[in-house]
Amino acid sequence: MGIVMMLVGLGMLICAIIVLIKLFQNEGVLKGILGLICGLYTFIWGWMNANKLGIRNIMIIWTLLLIVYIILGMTGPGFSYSVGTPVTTP
Amino acid sequence: MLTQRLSQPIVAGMLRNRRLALAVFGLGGLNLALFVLHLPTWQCPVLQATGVPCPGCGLTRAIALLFKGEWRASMTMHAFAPVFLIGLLLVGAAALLPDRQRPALVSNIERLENKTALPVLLLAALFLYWLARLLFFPSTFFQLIRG
Repeated sequence: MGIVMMLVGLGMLICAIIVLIKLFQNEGVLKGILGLICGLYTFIWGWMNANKLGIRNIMIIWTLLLIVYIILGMTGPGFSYSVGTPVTTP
Repeated sequence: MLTQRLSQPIVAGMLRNRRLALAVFGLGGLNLALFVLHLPTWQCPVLQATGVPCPGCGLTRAIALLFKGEWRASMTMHAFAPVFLIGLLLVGAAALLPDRQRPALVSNIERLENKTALPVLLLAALFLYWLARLLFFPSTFFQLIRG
């Protein structure tokens, strides 16, 4: 499971890098850095410009990988998020 | 040339595009809601592939903690949470304001950005903050982000 998740993560990273390069080229350095920090912005920008920049297939792959990653994360061991101060157990 | 490029308004540009503002506000809010409900959220590709947190890692959790009133825990998780929360609220306002009021908000933000270069300074500060956590407190940083 761990290797599959790592591969999916790697695929997501490759898609993100391709879209990030397009973001830097089309929107400038600052928005590129913003996209580097906030992957969600890169993802949204990529979908909004997918047809114009010809990256529709990349965005479809990225979205599918994201969905697979989330499903794997949900079904895999250790899926538990908690917000707040951690509770220590004796 | 470089100075001119760096002082270009980035937030105002985002606010001007209502569709982009709506998408960022909607998905940002949805991501936060999913996290609060303990459901799977957006996965950072940098963290997932390399294991190294990116400068924005931990922001969702930090903003969620802000909403819970846990300021200290929020600041520990990510000190830039209030900045990004204000940014998200601004984007939300630009997305939802009527057409008559939007231009005034956008031009005020643009003027502020041009005068102060605030986004550039904040991005630089965020990068330095990330670098400091990575270099001086790596174990605490990795432990915090990985939960």
